[in-house]
Amino acid sequence: MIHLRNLALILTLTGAFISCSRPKAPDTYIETQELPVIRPDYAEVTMPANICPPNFAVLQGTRNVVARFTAPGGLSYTYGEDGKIIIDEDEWAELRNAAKGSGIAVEVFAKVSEEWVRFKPFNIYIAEEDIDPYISYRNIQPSYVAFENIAIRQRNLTNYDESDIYSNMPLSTEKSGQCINCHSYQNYKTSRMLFHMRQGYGGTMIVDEGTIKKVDLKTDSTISAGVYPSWHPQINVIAFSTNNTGQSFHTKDIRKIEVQDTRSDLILYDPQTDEVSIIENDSNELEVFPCWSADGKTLYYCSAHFEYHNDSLAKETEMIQRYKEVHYNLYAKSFDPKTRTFGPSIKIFNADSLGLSATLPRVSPDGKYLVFSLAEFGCFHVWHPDADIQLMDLKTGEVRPLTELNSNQSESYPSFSSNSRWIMTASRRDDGNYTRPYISYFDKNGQCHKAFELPQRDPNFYTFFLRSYNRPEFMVEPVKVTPQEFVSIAREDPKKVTFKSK
Amino acid sequence: MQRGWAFAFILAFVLFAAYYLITENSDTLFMAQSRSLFYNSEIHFKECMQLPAGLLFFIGGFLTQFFYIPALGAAILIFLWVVIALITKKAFSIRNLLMPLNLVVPFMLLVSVIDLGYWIYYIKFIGYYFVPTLGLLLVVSWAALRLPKKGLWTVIPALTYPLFGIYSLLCMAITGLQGVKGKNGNDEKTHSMQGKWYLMNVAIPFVLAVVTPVLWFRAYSELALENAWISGFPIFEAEEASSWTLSMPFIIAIVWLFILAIPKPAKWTNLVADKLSGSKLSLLCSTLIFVALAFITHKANFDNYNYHAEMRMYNAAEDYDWDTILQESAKLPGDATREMVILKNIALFNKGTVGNQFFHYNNMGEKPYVRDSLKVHMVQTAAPLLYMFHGKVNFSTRWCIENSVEYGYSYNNLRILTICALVNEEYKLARKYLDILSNTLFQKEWAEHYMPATSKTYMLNQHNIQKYYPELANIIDLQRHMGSVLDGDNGIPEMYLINYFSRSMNKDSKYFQEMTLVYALVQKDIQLFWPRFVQYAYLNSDKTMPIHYQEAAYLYGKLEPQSMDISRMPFDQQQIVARYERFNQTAQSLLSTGLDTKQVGENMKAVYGDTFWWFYFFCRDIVSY
Repeated sequence: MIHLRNLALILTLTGAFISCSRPKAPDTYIETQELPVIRPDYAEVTMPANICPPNFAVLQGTRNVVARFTAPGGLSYTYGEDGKIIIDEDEWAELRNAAKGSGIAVEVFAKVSEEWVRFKPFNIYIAEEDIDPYISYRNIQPSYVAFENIAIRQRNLTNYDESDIYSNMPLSTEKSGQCINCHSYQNYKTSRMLFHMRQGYGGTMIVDEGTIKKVDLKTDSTISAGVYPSWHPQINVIAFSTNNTGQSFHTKDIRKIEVQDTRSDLILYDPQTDEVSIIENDSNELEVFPCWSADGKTLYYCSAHFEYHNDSLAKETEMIQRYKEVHYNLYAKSFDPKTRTFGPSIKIFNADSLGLSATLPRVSPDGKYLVFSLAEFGCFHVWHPDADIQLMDLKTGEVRPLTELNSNQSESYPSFSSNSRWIMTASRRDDGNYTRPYISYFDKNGQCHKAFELPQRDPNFYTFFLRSYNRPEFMVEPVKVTPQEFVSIAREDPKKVTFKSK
Repeated sequence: MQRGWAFAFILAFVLFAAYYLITENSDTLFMAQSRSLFYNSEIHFKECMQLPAGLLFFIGGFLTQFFYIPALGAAILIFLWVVIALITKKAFSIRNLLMPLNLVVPFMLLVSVIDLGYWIYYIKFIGYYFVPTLGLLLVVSWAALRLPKKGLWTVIPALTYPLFGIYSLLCMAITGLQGVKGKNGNDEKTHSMQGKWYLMNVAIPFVLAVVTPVLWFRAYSELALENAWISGFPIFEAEEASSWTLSMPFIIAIVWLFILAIPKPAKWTNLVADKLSGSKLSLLCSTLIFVALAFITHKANFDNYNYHAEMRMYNAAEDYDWDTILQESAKLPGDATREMVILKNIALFNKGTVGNQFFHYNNMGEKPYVRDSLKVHMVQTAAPLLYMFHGKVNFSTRWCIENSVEYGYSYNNLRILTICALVNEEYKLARKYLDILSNTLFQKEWAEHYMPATSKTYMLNQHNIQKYYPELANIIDLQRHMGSVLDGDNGIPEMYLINYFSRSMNKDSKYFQEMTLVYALVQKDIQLFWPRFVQYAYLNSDKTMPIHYQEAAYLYGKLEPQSMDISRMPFDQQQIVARYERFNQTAQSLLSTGLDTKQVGENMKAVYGDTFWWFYFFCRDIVSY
């Protein structure tokens, strides 16, 4: 009996503790018609049906805050501690499932001057469609030339799990530092993927259905090793740009740095034969950013017409002097996957005629749309605050800005999820310097919805995180090769590819 | 009595360490914390834990911030060293009179703090000043633990390898060495079971010390296998240099602990005990050991005058304390480093006395003194601050970030990044940096000072910032009047600044225009000088022409009369016309005696070293870096 009494007491106390520890929305409060200031801003956003909880901080000058989440049907949970709204993952799944296709109402309360205030409620809409469960990105300080402690990482979007795909630290010694970049996948799957390593232990890491190899894509007949990649969605070939890239620095301009190509071409690489061949190499054109259509029958790319006028100047010097004249247009080139032959190039968007520059094209997997970044000039739009994401309807050719996705800071590197319903971009809207992944719901009618920032467990994560998220890419599965396996291959000498003339 | 001597040795060490840390190296300690970063965030903890010894990095980083008050940080460090000495004594049963044997490790740790020199700017080791101390404290504490079948307990250091890295391995190794003692009959119970004893107390610890890093290796994506056994051990490598000398104190400390742990033959220990039984002999030996350790420490101390003065000037510049910079510059015993020359120039610009005092200070400049092959570059030591005070906030931002990539973010570069963001009107970015600094122990006040500048009320226009933050006025003035071009410094900031400003002109900003004139003087270029001189005269027509500009105009008018007619310029008769004649005559007469230019310059320095003329003719061979 005594034991039972003790047990009852323990249960009562535990229950009391749990009920006490759970925040409760106040019964009496003052209402205001102002929306609460929250970070990240998740008010009126549309989220995927499988996303992790969108935790946020309430910035109302008090740490005494709670938020009540109510799904259709009355399911309701309240959270709030120390100025933060941290949502239980299981309960969020309940809310999310109950609200699929509609919205979760969020009421935020803050205790200001001993009185509770309820801010104007907002909704978090839950789409019918899921998002690809993984994304990958390169975490790097927004550096200019230096590279150290860079990692390509993958993140599970259904929870907060993050892991390194490859870090440059194991091989990054003082005398042979290593830069890593341009991770890319075939058709959102990781069984075929690649990334580049520059300088120390340089080469391109190729994962091809279970085999891993390191290749040197530079040949005597090409400008450089492969740079910006696009893996053909069906057959095992990769289009790359080859670039002679330089950097120079603005004395005053807010853009701070200009990354320019003095020469660039397009090449095609066959991982099975380790051969490269030329796709485009007009000496008066700067071809870059290849991107295959979902059916693999068209290669989109950007190209700027640029003729050097002054033979007495180095090309780099002339480019620095005329950097604002570089305007990239969008081109499409037909491709026959069976014969592996290309047709002629067709200009599909003349940005130059508008005094603008179009870069980083990506096609939706349903083949209906193409997104790209548009700014005043140049190719490296991550440093251009005026860069915005544009949408082209591939049927009509109509181009419009994705206002819901854009901000007054740089948006670059757009990409579609594998179901074409989500568009992700690397945005600098938080502070103008550190790139963050922002995701927009893109509905069946071609309408974009207010973008939301990639949720993190700690709502203040982005404030304290001093690295950028570069080149965010959707993936339908995680990378299975371990970082240690990649390091082991990276230590090997690269296999030289051979040049195949047309 | 013996305890009294032990206490005396400890006290002597405390005073000795306090002298070298607080009196000799407080500027170094302050710089050490300035180049570190600890903020209260899970992200920071996770970053520390990316390598084995992560907990030590985290705690070491936390403690480093106390060097903000150098005496406080030094007191913590000395306290930990005394604890190490006392626990070492207990762990290895060392007699009171031989206390200096317990001070070998603390002395080596003291050396490791004060011998760095310019490596302080190149260390990539979070919490360097405390991690080895904490790690070795852990090792001696573990060695002092009396546990039955201790070898089996080494599974604990094996499990805590992610927290303590190499120091966990050292705990295992020490246990293995201590275990060998069983053979000597120290433990009667196990004497007859030597095989089992060795397996448990020697083999297991040593095997674990070897295999533990391998077992944990796959948990670390940022760790190379070859580094898995030394994670937490300071290695000194920079792009163009490496130094084993600086790692030696740690190696000696570890080897010394091994020596103490190694079992000594009974005959040997008895012999030593007999020989040292007389307290006088013990005392003499101890005193000699202490003196030797103190002498080594003294010799290891990096006491280059410029190294310390440069830090004091840098710290003063961060506080906009121009008088301190000029006082330091005035009392230099020899030539300054180029960084000190630029800091002096910045102070004179900001005080508005550059035209009359520029050549009153040493302008020769030399490369920083180093003991090894380290190549010191200004981009790593001071470029962000120097660029900031020249209004080149983009370049300052660039080098802050580049240095953060290589050596990690620090309070110093976050503060500079904040100022640059404010000047650039990037208020959200400034707010981000201020939010981080607000989450620190000693930078909160600084952050609170600038936080209002990011609010809507203050951010409206630059006039508000100039009104509420007058210390930024000159930086903003320069930045606003700067042209916008694509450029690059090729990693040599001083040459870039001289070239940039000496070739710029500005009719709207007196401050900017004077900078162009001064750098034209530095260039010793007549063609660059005249247009900037004329522009300066136009903008400052209500003021007396500063003496150095008069000196330059008079000299250039004499050297190249066709470049400008100076006949109607109102030169100061005494300070310019008459003095130049004396200067010229003295130079001619000295040259006629057969002295070379350098010798003539040395002879004339005392009288004419404060003139542009002396600088023009005799200040040569300046090498920037």
